[in-house]
Order: sequence, then structure tokens, then C-alpha cells
Amino acid sequence: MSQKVTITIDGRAYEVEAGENILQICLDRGLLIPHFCYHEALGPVGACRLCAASIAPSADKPGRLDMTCMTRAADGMVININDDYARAFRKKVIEDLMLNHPHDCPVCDEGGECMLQNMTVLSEHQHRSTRFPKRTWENQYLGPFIHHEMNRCITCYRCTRFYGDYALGRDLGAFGSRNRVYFGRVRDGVLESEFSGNLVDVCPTGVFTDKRFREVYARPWDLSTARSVCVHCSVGCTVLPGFRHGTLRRIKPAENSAVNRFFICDRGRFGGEYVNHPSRLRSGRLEGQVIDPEEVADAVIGRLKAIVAEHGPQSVAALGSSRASLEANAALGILLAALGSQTIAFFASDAERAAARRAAAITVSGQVRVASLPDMEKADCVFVAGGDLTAEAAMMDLSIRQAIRAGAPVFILSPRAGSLDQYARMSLRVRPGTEAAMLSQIADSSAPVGTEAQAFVTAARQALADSKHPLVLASAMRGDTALVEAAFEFTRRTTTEGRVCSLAYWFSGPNAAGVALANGDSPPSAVWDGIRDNRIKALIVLERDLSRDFSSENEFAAALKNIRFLAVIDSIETATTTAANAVIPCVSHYQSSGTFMNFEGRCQRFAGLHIPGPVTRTNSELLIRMIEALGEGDRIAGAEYSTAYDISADSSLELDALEPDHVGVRVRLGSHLQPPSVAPANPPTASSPLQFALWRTHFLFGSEELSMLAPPIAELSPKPWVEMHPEDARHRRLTEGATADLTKELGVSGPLRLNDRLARHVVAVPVLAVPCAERSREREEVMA
Amino acid sequence: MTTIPDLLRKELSDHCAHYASRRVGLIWVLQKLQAHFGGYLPDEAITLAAEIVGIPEPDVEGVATFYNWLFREPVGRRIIVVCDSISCHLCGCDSIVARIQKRLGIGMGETTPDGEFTLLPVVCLGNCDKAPTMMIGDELYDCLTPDKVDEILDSIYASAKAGGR
Ligand code: SF4
Ligand code: SF4
Ligand code: FES
Ligand code: FES
Repeated sequence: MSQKVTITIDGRAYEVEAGENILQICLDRGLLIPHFCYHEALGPVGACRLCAASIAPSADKPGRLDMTCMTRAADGMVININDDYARAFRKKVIEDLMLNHPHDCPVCDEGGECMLQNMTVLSEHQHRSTRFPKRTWENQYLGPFIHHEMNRCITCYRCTRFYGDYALGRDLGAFGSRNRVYFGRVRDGVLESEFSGNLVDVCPTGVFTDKRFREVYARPWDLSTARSVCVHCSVGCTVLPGFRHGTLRRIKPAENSAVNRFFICDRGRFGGEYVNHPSRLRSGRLEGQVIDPEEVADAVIGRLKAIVAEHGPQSVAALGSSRASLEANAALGILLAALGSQTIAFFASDAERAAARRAAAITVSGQVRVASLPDMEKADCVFVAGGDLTAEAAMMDLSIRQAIRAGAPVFILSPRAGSLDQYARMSLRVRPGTEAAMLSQIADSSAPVGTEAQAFVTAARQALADSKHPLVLASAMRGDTALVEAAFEFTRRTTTEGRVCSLAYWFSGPNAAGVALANGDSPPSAVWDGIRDNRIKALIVLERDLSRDFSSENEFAAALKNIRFLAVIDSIETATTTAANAVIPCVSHYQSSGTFMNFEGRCQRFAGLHIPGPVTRTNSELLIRMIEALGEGDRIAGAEYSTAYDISADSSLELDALEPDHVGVRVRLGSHLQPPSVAPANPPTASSPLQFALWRTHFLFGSEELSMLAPPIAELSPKPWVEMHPEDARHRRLTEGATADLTKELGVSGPLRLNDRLARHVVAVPVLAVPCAERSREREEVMA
Repeated sequence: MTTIPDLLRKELSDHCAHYASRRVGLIWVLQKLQAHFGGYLPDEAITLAAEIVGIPEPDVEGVATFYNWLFREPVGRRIIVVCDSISCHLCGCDSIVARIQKRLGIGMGETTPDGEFTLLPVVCLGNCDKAPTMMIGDELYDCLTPDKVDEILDSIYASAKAGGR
């Protein structure tokens, strides 16, 4: 139990927790002590010797020089940071650390936010007295994200402690000894970790810097920044995009103690460059004519009114987006209502909608404990079901790695091994759609178990029995409602006296949980059936590429065939904008303000930056303009997301007051609100085990459409392939590299890869977001 | 990719199995591989050790580059290490090094063209009371003088010629 003690720092008394880290105590209170190796997330190691102060166990004892990062607070302790001897010591330490440093600050990318500069100034070291030649190093090629400049290293070991110890990466090491320690890979090559970008922040000097930022470098103080929320998955990490002269230069994590704390994944850091991509929309279009964005918006209203007048209000429908804010989606709903229609849908398929709605309802219901990222780190036994956590919700994976470091066993149920599997206690490769049944078997110790899963289930049950804080993570992005339900059941069933099981689902987009709680939306089939049957003539689409919801370009084209008028609001060119009658361009996510709801039902407000350019309006602003053009501006007043969404009255109050620098609020449905109702799930019709099942594999780099527009992400994305288990390939007499033509069975074909970490009787293909420009280029090539 | 005899691989792997954590066996594995590869650890030895011990390659490279007696570059058949730490420094190790260098025609860290000797410095051989000292191969030589160095090298060359390598 925590106990308060009183300690004295530089003559002032402070009440602190017994056992707290002295360095952290000082830093928290603005008492700056120079330090390098200590990092709040990485903990103390006492390696750099810089954080020395005079420390006495009590006022009547003499102080001794000691490392504050290695000292824990005890009652009566007297600490003197400004002790002369300590100051001289620190000055000397930093002089030694700087012996080999090249003093190249004017040309170093770290300048302006360099911890070494700050600590050197803080330690009062000014004059270099050594006259030796400095040791120099050769730098390595580390891939498209990170630039290496070893000469600047001061050997603090933060990089390997983050990369290896914290993120469990296996390809970065410390080599050599004494004054010739080298930090890098055994040989040149792309860093393997999905979290490599954090090296840029943890390295206190300019050894590891953001390679993309170097290309378009600006001093940090020249960047315009505003806290935002990452747009590339449902985790919702807090980020700090930096703009200059109209372009995005880089993205850094912003501290958020309730979500990502200090770090972000490489998709979040390097994917934001989509903002600068040539396929960003820079002008409006109406029937092929290039016109001003606002003029298009006004013309769209005219066309919609005409269609409503001719065919009635139900002839208009809208498709909202899980990558647009709650506000923009709400405004879309209001626009539709102002036209007299209610047909608005948000998801790619009815199944995905059902699963997401059920998962979101459970998440905000208060009926089970829902884990945040910091909660996940404390789990003592983890079950992951239904997908590749690293690829689909990367920062959840980093939290699970912390649980693993603390000894938690991880059990994974999925058709194909991902990055997390290498650290799992056990993985079971299953057919897609059977994860729910397996989870139920683990939770119910009386259930019979098939021979194949025997060892896995037995071990999982044992680990569960031994745990106090188990955690279940399940995918809500693949339309498997049975899995969503099974994870919920698992959590309730295994929460017993002395054990609290917690739960989290991950979703298909940064605001998927938010739109899943929408009030009165329609299943997507209602929209597509209406179009097919000629009832719906006009479609308004907000920030989504519909072609991604169809398995082929032909299907997509066929679905759009009957639409008389397609209007799209987006920031990038997609197959959908290309097919649209009217394109209304809006600014990118990092220039928009709004609210996203992440996987745990946390609403986070983000601030937009106003960046000069051909397009200046946000999606919400354009929608509001359209509503006003209809003469229905009154609907906007007070019409926040709180009325458009089933969000309880009390939390919406808090939501209205949310500021971007807040950690966000977790929404709980009020008791007066029923969780959104969902039709009971039909378990997916299990195909005969002899037939192949298709598994669309998500990748951290390549599967998400916005980040795919960032060149380094595209560089690392997989090429199209078809994967099979070697045994299955053998039965079919297929060899690695041969063309596997499964068009008849599964609608896929491509060069075959063998993967013995794929379930039997499953064919995997990568989900690839092919940038629109590339797609049309390919089409031209095919035509030519 | 270089391979090693199955028997050696098994011996190395079995050795690691003796410990609660396999990585404890790493240094011994590296010593064995160094002997197998003719006195040093080529890149493929690092990959092999990682595979046999079952740890990431950077961890192996970290150990292989840390210790004095693990070599990542080809070295001579005999390693000469001359102590340059305090006692030996006071007792004139500089003149010892100078004599060796003159005699063999190599600088510190270099190998003779005939591949016989590599010269390296070392920090204290624990033989300070008989400074200056050096080691050639497994043999320790103390109370050195430049002339004594000549004698030692002469006798080594003589026995090498006689086939007693
Ligand atoms: S590379 Fe950076 S983080 Fe790593 S030891 Fe050197 S200074 Fe520290
Ligand atoms: S985990 Fe998701 S939200 Fe967080 S940085 Fe990565 S892509 Fe962005
Ligand atoms: S911060 Fe305390 S020794 Fe490095
Ligand atoms: S100082 Fe040379 S052996 Fe100790």
C-alpha cells in the first residue's frame, strides 16, 4: 500500500509516496535534474551517471553523491540538487559523454528539440578541453523510416532498451565495448519492429532521426502543430502533426496518459504523409468540370433538391465513414434528414455493421470492464482472437508486450500468424469463423475439446485458472458477431470472486466505434438494394472509398450503375471520387477538428490546423454549408453528435466541453438508454472443412488506404500473393511461386507463397489499399 | 551459407541445454566456433550461433564484439598481447611494444604477412609484480626486456621451422 513520506529537496519539504523514484519526483515538480538513461516508460538503469545529487538518509547525516534515478523516496531523506560537488560531478559527466560527439548541431536534425543540448546547458558544461581525435562510425541503412548517424551517440542505451527490452524487437543491438560501442543492426537492412519510429523520440541525440522529415526538414519551432488523434486505426493514439508552408512535415506522438502514453506505431508516424500526396483533391468537380469547392457544394444541393422533387425524399441516401469525425457524420445525417430521408449507412457490409454495433454497445454498456491500453499492460493472461493484433491495432500489441514482459502468457486464436505470435505462449491456427467456438471452450471447462485443439485449450484453461486479471481482445472489424458475443460471454463467465476479466474489441477505423453507436442508421444492404431496385437515385458519400467494400472492380461498377447522382466529400482521390458526378474536396484529417471515439468508447477531441492551400474547408464545414443552403440551418444549432448518437446525457455534457489537450472521456450509456439493438447473430455457416476458406490478411503497412499514400509505407507494403499451408499446396501439386488460380472457388489468384503458420484449408491474400493513381495507371497498362 | 559438421552442431546445442537459459551457453559456443573457423568468427558464425543458441543475432554480435578473446576478423596463428596498464607502463612496456613492432614489421592490431602473429594491447594480465608482461598464445612471459623479446620470438620461429607449430 502506498504511504506518504516527507522528503526535503533543496531546502523545501515535499510530501511524496514512499518508494517513488526521486528523479521522477523532481521532474514532476519542475526541479530539473540532468539525465539521459532514465525514461518514464523505460524505467531507471543508472547507466549514464548524470542524474547525480547529494542524498542523505536524514538531516543529521552527511549527504553522499548518488544517482537520483536509482534512489527511492524514504521518510526524512534530504536531497540537494544544487550541491556544489554534485554540480561539478554532473558537469564532468556530460563533458565525458560529449568526448566523441561531433558538435554538429547546426546541421543536425535533432537541433531545437535535442535532449543532449538541453542537458548540456543544464549541466553547465561549456568548454571542451580534450584534444584527441574523435572516434567515427559508418552509418547503416535502416529502411525508409529511420536515418542513422552514429557519430552523435552518447551511449545512453535508451535505443536498445526501447527497441529490444520494451518493444521486444530482435534486430537492434549494442556492439563493442568501452568507447567504441555501436548501436545498430548486425547488417544493413530495414528495421523489423512495427514501433521503430519511436527511436527518433527516445534517442536523446540525433542518432536516429525521422528520414522523411529530413527530406522536408524544418526546425521544430517553425512547425505549426496542434494536438490531433491518429486516423489510421481504432486505437486512437494522440499525435502531434507538424506543418510548414502548407505541407505536413512529420508526426510525433503526443503524450496521453490514458491512451498511447509516449509512443505510437510506425503506421501512425509515417502514414500521415498522405496529406502531401498528389492524389489529394485540390479542386471541386462537377460532371467533369473543375470548379470551386463551395460552388460544387451549392450545385450538389440544387441537384439533390431536384431529385427529391422528382422522385421523393427516399430517393436520396448517404454513406458515412469510420474515418470521419462524429461531428461530420452527424452533419451528414442532419443533411439527409433535411432532405427528408433517413437512409444512412456506415459500414462495408451488414455483417460488419452488426458485429461493430454489438461490440460498441458492449463496450459502452458498463456491464463488463473494458481495458484501456494502460490497463492491458497489467493483464496477467491474454487471449487474442480473430485477427492480427499488430497489423490491425498496433499499439494494443505494444501494450500486450508489456504484459508479456511482466510474465503474462498470451494465447492467440487466428487463421494466420502475425508479429505477436512470436511472443505468444501458444497460438492456435483456426479456420476463419471458428474463433468464437474456441473461446467458449476455453471459458467453459466442462466443454468437450477436439483433439487438434486439446493442448492449446488445456494450457489456456490452466493459465486462465491461474490468473487474476485476464484480458480478452477480439476483432469487431470482420463481421463476426459470434466472436463479439463469445468474447463478451468469456469476460462475464470468467469474472469470478478474486478474478476480474477485462475485454476490448478492435474496430475497422478510427471512429468505427463512434459510428457504430449511431442512432437509426441502416444496414448497407438497404442502400445497395435501393440502388439496385432503382428506388435510390442519389447517393452522398462522406470520406470513404466504396470500391474497397466490393471484392472486384466489376462488382463495384455494377453496384454504381443505377445511380443517377453520386456526390462525394473526401480529401483524397479514390475510385469513388473518380466515379462521382460531383466531388467536394475537404481538407485532410490533420487539418480538421472534431471528435473520434476509439475502441474503448473514449471520445477524443482533435484540433485542426488551418493551412493555406487550394482547399480550406473541413468536411463538417462543407456539410453545414449544404444544410444552410437548404434553409435548414436551425437543425445545426445544438445539433451536436449528442443528439445524433445514443450517447448519454451526462457524458455528452462532458463531451461538449472536451478540449484537444484532454485525455478524452469514456462514454458510458446512461441507464435510460438501451444498448443499440442488434439482430441475433447467425453463426457464420461453417463451410465444409474440405473447402478452402479465404482469409483476407491485414498488414500494418499496405491495408489502410490513407497511410498507403505515404511513400515509405507503400514501399513496405506486401505485393499481391496467395498463401497456402505447404501441406495443402502439396495436395494440390502447387509449388512456391507457381500461379495459384482459385478464381472459381474463392475469386482470388496470384503467385503462391507457402506459409506453415497459416491454418490448414485456408487461403490467405493480403488486403491491399491500392492508391487510386496507381490503379488507373494499371488500368491504362492493361488497356494498352 | 556455411554449415558446420552435424556433430559439432549437436555438441554446441546440447551444451546450451545444460543451462536454465540457453543463452548462458553462448560464450562457450562462440569459442568453439572460433576454433572451428580458424581462430576468428566470420559473419556466418554469428548467424550460426544465434540459430544454435536460439537468441537474436544482435545479442550474439554484442557478445562477440565485447570480449577481447573473441575475434571478428582473421588473426595470426599466435596472438601476442602486451600489457599496457599501469605497472607495465611504469616498467617500460613501450620499449617492449616497439621492439616487437620493429622485429615483426607490424603495427598494433596488425598481423604479420606470414600469418604467424597478431599484435594486440591488453589491460593488465594480473601479473603486475613481474611487469612488463605479455602473452603469446597461451604462454605468459614476464620481467621482459627488449632483448628478451628477441630471444622469445627467435625460439618461437625456430620451433615453428622445426615443425612444432
Ligand atoms: S543511439 Fe541514441 S539512444 Fe542509442 S545509445 Fe546512442 S544516444 Fe543513446
Ligand atoms: S496504433 Fe493505430 S492509432 Fe495508434 S499510431 Fe498506430 S495506427 Fe495510429
Ligand atoms: S538518469 Fe540516472 S544514471 Fe542515467
Ligand atoms: S599492469 Fe601489466 S600485468 Fe597488471
